[in-house]
Amino acid sequence: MITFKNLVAGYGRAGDILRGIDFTAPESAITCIVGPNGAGKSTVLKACSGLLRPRGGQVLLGDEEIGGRSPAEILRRGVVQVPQHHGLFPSLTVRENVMLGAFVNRRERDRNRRRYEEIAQVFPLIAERAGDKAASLSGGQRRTVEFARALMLRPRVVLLDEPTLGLDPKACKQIADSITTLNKEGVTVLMVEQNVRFGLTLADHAVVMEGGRVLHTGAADALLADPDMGRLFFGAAPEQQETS
Amino acid sequence: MTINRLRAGGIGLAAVVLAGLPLVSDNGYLQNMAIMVFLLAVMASGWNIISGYTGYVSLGQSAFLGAGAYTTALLSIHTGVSPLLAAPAGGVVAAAAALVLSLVGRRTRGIAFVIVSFAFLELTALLVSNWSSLTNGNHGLALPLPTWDRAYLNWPFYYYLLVLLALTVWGSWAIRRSKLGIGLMAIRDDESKADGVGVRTDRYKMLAFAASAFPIGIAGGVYAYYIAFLVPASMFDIVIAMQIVLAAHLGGVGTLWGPVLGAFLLEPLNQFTNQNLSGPDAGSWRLIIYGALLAAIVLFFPKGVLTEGAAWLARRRRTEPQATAGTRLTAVPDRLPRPTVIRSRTPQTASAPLLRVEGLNKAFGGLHAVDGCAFTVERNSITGLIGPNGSGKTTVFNLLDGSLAADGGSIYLGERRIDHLARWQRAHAGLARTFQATRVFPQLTALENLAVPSRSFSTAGLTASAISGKEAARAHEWLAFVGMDAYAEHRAGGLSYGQQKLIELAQALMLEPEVLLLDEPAAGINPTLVERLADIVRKLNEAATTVVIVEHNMPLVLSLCDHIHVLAQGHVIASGPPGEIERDPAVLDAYLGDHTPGPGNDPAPSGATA
Amino acid sequence: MGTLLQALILGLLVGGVYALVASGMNLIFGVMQVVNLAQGGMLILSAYLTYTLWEATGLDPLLLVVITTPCLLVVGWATYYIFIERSRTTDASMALVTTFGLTLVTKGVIALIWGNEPRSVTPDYANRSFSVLGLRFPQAQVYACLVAAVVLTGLYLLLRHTWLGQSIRATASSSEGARLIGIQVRSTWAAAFALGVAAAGAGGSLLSVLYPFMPSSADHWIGLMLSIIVLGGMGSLPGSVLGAVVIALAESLTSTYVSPDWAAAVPYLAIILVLVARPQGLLGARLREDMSRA
Repeated sequence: MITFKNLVAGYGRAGDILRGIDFTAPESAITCIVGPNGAGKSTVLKACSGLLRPRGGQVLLGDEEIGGRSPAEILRRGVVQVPQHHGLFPSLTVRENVMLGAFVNRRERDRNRRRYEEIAQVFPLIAERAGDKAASLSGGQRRTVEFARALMLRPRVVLLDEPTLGLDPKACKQIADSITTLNKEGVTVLMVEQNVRFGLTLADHAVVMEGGRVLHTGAADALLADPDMGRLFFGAAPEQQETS
Repeated sequence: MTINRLRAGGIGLAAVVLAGLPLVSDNGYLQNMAIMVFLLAVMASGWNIISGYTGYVSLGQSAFLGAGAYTTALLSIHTGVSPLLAAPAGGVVAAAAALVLSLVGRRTRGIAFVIVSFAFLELTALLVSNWSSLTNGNHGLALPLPTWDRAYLNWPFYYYLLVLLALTVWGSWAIRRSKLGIGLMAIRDDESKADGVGVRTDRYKMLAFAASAFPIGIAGGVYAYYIAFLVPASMFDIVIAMQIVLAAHLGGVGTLWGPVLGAFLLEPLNQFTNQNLSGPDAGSWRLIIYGALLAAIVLFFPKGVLTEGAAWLARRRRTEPQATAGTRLTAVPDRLPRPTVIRSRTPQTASAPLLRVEGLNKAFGGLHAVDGCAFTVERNSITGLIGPNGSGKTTVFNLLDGSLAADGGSIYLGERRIDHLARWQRAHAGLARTFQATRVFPQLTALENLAVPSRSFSTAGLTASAISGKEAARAHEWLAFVGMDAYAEHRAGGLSYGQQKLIELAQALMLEPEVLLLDEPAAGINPTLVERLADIVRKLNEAATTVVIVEHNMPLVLSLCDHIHVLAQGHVIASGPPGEIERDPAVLDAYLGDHTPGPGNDPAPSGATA
Repeated sequence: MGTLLQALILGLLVGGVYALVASGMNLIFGVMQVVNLAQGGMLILSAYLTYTLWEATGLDPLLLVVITTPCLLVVGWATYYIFIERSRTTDASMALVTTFGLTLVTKGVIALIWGNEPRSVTPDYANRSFSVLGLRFPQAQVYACLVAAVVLTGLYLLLRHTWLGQSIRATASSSEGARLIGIQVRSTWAAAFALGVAAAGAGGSLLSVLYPFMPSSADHWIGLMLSIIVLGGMGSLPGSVLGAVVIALAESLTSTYVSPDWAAAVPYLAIILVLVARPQGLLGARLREDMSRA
């Protein structure tokens, strides 16, 4: 569904963060990117959503090149990103936040309104807190609103940047449910997750990155079961540390 | 090395040329220009201390010029003292005015302070022009004429200001390399963080304001004598204030020589437009040229000539440093170096808890974030604070370290009640913390970051060198302890997220705290780093540091902590050892969600899956 | 009593005009955290434009807002792309230097074209008043206040109920979030800046009828605008209305009961008192950066 071909990207004057990325996130599957801090995982997502213009290589949505297009153009093609932070508009209401998800299709008023009603039924929180400022929500609730906003466009691909960051275990479970629900509706999910076990348990496919390159791709459960990969990237569990 | 020698040579040469200029040339135009350059350079260097080093951008600097000028003028008119002798009194009054400004601006930062400083300037101007019984208002004030032989022309003004400029630059240099200076730069980068690591920010700022205004006041006195006639509009002038800002920006804000260089570039241009434009429209053209220049500087030299030049040189001299992010950390050594012995500041009472919180309350509007929270932390324990999002954990930390004031309740560190203390006092008492969203001083190097924390305050101590001897050794030791010594000279802002977390931890450790509060240390960092962190915490704990940790990573919390408090809706719903907590039904319901372990946060030993 | 009422009435009427004058600076600050000192120059520029148009056509100067507002909109839009966009990528004080420079240029250009003498626009109702119960309602003040209310309401509706307004408010709240949902942040900033300058344009036409003006009047108005937005709460449009009314009342009372000399000090005193006592202003977000981060 989304294919990266020799993608090179970086910020400003600094050197390249991504130094030739090749992998495919297959249609209707959940793909999880893992790797150490600063490996370039979030940068891959940004290059995909149009927030960052690639310096080289291609980003393909199906057969169409989307690398270097504007965020609005990419959104119209059904690729939506849920960012790590700063995604919501704290001074606007929950309803305004969700409705703005359809900004690129703002002229279709009736359709957007209907879509909002549908979403408000799926996420009771939206209906309950519709008139409250987003700033008054807790971390988990903000995530939910961001998810709901992403759904306004009926996306084909959802990009998730560390969906569980700073969330308590209970909220993590809700996020996991939301991701599974998304996926069951046929949405392709490409996510970055620092909580490796969480990400890989949820995902079908795994991509391991380090230093701006892809080290490994494969089935998520196989990677999770691989003891070598485990030691390298997930860290031994603290319990093991004590006994060794 | 050669660059340094080149610079020293250039400065020496410039000093000799400037010192000799009046002796070899009696060109009045040239001398006048030099005098105006010195004046602007003094003012820009002074401005640089509060605005460049400390980050309080002032648009009111010409108020200090006016204060010095009027004080000097009034003194010499009423007592007959030569204005040149009275000028230092002008400096004192200007410094006093700056203290008033620093008190007024105590609660403002950023743009708000800029506006306050502007209002301050306009108010002082109005005060001086309306207080006509003293200042003769808008009719102006005439100073006595110089008494020296006409043959010496402007020599006294010239040398007075040249020496003043040299002293100002020397003072600026001395501040920069002292404890005061590094504290000021920390205030610029993150004032509340500086407060939290024990920097007494209010005193630092007052000193900086006074130091900034003093030379400007003296210069104002000399300038008053030089132009011989004062009206409020020409002294308390926003355009002069803007020239100061412009000169500093032109050369390079926050650098030692930038403001001086900026003055040497800007003032000749000023003089040129003054002299070479004539006719009825001259004033208008001057405004246009000057305004366009102000705007253009921003477009072409946004960081100043000196800063941009240095960056350009640096780029030419060596290739871009390899990005430090994105690679694996070096392996954790088997034995981390032992920390220096931590002395105990709280009297050892065997049974009493080290930290005791009773009935703590905090509401934001109608929301009770912390509501009757009570718990204790035993000495030498690792205590976990867990709970759902919004249960008030971070707010509790903010109340503990004083970044928020509690609505009610009490906090004891040992036997001492600390909830009424200011943040810096709590840091001095032995409390240190890290933040959920890591906060380091981005423009300082890793080593400088570790030089900021301070466990005591004395005015004399501020003159000590910023990082030296024993302290530098200790900073290196702590950096090595967290595995970051290789990055000591890197700017902290350029380091990766995980590395900044380690720097922040080492910085907190420089306080050698009794209690270390860690707010989500494992959030957003990769598992290898989480392990290193756990290792560090254990080692610290062995060395008798008590640790309180807020964290969602349950395997980490369960393996690390001796004791866990569970927070929900602002109060503690359960306390106990890890084994008990993970089976407590109330905890499972409020926090973990259900009894089956979740995919990533299963309380059971998760190493089995690997 | 009569004197007090009279002072209050004049203060309220002037407050309406002040609100419009300050709304532009407040909008720009709210959206992009730039204190646009160029607003002073723009305001005076619009007053001179009104003067020339009024002399040439004899049209009612208050109705000339229909022309001056779009003119200043274009000026603001161009200014954003040429100067502001680059300066705001550095730091706040740089943007201040730039916008102050722009005010100087504007003052210079005005002086070249129109000279340095004070001008005033005097339609035939300039010196007439309505009299109600022995109280004086100067006609010019009343009409100007009405026009200001209309323009402000229009601005408010634009921000609340159009997609442009939505994008401006969303961008003000989080530019990163705005980019994510496909808002063209750059053009939104330009639009907000242009709107802010246009509001000053409307304000300039109104004040040309109420006060004499010359190029250097810009400085006085900058101080006034700053005090209003600080008092009301930076970035809050209703706040700036409240702030404007308070400042205008305080000025009016000071010049009635103390001395006109000290009326000029009112805005600056207000700034200092507010920032010492209540840094977030009467309405509006906190000004203390360190608090918002904690």
